[in-house]
Amino acid sequence: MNIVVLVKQVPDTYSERTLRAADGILDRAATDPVLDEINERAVEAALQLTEAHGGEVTVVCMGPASAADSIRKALSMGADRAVHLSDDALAGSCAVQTARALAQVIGGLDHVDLVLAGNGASDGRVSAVPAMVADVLDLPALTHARQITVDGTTVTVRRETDRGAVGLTAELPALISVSEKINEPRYPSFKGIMAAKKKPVTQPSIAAAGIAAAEAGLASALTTVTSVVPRPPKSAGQKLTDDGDGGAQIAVYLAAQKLI
Amino acid sequence: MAEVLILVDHLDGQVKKSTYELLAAARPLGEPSAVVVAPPGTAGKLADALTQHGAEKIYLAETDRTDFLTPEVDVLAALVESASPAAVLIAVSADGQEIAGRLAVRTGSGLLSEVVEIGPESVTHSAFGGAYRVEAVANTPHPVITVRSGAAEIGSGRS
Repeated sequence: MNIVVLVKQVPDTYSERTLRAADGILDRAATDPVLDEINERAVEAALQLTEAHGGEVTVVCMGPASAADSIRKALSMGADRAVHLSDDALAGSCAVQTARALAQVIGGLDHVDLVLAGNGASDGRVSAVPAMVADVLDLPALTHARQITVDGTTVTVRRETDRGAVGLTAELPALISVSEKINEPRYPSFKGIMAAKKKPVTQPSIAAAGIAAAEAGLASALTTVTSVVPRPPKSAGQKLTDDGDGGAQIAVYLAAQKLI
Repeated sequence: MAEVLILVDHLDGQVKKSTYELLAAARPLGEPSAVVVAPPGTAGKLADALTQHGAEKIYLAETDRTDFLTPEVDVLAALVESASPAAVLIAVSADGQEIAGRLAVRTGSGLLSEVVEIGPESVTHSAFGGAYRVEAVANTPHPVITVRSGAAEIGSGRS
């Protein structure tokens, strides 16, 4: 079975993440970019499936040129090839534009049986792009999977969310997004890292991918950020002096705050 | 005044509290219309509670389809077409985010995700764990907005 894995480069959550005041876009230069951890789990799930059932793994990534490092990481884990959609015209795309662009790229690939993705990136918190891609491609969306079973052309997942667990079954082709409980991703081996340098990475322009320039990027985004305000620094608390009635003062303060 | 569609979140025949918050949060944008998608024979029972909490209109869609979350997307997409709402509000949850995203991409609507406040002109997000307050607008008709709990006080009808 041939699998496409969607990956995203995100700012490392350990680094200071800043938004540009002018347009509210993530300041990528000021952060440490990494392959989002949930994507490593999606790559791992894809590798386990192709190891059991045969087929190849293609990584698809939309992002700036620096995302090449994240793609190379996925290839060093064992993916076979990658498509890096990295046209400057895409910068500032909203969720709907992103889903449509990714769907366009996937739709242009031959014989895709399964699309795998993480269930949500650590930076944007939309957590809906995989299902949106599935909707555009008219694929069933099996999201938040912690377990995947493939039997012939039928795929079954165990979906776990804060609402509880449910079993979902669909016929291939389908899209699955994985939760962080799906597996522990492998570390790239030295051999894998060397092999990844020679694996093919295509970089189509938006025109080659079939995306209309008039629909791409910040200027035609369906949503616009109008202001970005950093959280004000915490102000000092109120000091109470204990003149023997400290307990009573605290009680009065808490009562005034409607805490007791 | 335009109507605002609110997807009713319900479990075991009870409307979830987040839905009541949405009925109140919708007011700056228009008149709240509740949209119930539920198995046959269960949707009608929710109507009284929704009216009491400010729903001006209720759409009941009863279906025994078992395709996961797709009936909700289909019903809302059809209503976006027929009712031209000012916005569609959905409570934040794993299912809510997914329904909202699919609805937005299918209807060509701006998606405003995990909003903490709804104003007449813009919505407010909280980014990177509260480090930023970000205001945003949709550039399309009928934006799809997912709303975090606590965005509005639960009301008891017309205010």
